[in-house]
Amino acid sequence: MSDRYTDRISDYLDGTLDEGTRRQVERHLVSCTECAALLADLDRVVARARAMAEADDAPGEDLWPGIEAKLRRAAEAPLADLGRIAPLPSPRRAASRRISFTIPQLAAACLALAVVSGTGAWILARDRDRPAPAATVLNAPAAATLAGSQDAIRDVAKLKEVLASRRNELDPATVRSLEESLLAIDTAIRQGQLALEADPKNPYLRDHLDGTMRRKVDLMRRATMLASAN
Amino acid sequence: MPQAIDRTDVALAQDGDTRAFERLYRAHVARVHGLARRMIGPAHAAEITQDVFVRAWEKLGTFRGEAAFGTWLHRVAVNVVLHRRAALKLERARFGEDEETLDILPAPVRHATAEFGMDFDRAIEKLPDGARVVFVLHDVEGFKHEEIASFLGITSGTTKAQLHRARMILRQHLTR
Repeated sequence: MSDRYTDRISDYLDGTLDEGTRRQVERHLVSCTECAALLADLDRVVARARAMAEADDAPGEDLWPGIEAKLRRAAEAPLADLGRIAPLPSPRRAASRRISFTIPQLAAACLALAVVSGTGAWILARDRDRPAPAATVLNAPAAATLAGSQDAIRDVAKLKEVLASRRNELDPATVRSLEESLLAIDTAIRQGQLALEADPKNPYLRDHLDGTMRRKVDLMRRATMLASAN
Repeated sequence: MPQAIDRTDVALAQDGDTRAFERLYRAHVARVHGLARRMIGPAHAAEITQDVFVRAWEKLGTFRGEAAFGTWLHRVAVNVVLHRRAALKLERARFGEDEETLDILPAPVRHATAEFGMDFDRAIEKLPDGARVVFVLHDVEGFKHEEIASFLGITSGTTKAQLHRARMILRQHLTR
């Protein structure tokens, strides 16, 4: 057996040698019984490996219940995150500057809130009498709606962090109004997602949910800009 | 499973139907579990298999049907397994430096086909880490050297060397 050729037997077997080298190896195999035996053995190894993948059995335990539970947790996690008010920073002396929303700004936020809440209530009332779907339906995979998209969730999380860090620079009444508005919008998002679970192909529900999420991001962005500007 | 049935269930699953996704799971779980078992070992195979299907669900919206669902799922599985491998610190400081495993392969059991198959599985598990991963991806799963090199961030020359090394070790096992 020649080491020079031994190292090329696998490549020969896989057909990855260039033409010249392949001919050299073939000539050698005619005269070297050891390398010919090695080729036959490696061929058996490869055949055995290829047969394995086709012969795989399902695992002994049924893994689906665990997968389904993980899918449910993953579907609920973003909702839990959206519904949580950003925690207060550790107590410290309030900053000297305080920021308030202007009346038009608060009015715009309340108008958005009213639209969102009213539409959410309409959706729930409309869907209450619908028959339950035959199959279990979770939120469609993440990219299906803006409210479930990782980008939107990341935007909201970032804005929450900024607001939490500047909370003490905002007027308490403004903070209260903002949190109430966000809580109401979160409720509307949750209601929209529940309705979408019952009717996942409904384009109106998807659009509504996306619109609600955009309003939330816009409201938070506006509040963050106000905090930054003062 | 026929690809047409997969396509129907994929479309349903993309709309959030978990029963359709469960059918896809049942059609493909054996291969995914086999891949996880051979790449990382039986102790973590079930957990990693679950993670593969959770990841596949999350990424299902990106599946456009250019390839068969099984092919797409296998790529997802390889990425999850390799990521987990790194997390478990199974990756050695250098690719394939655990030479001591070369001589500890058990003697093969030849008298029963099923037992022989299981024995070959165990022999694969005992291969040096780098050689085992390349062998499983190339000879069992059918990936090309260039693809494996891309998965692992190494050259295809290295994957060829690791593959030959794995085959030579397993040859000893088969011919004892």
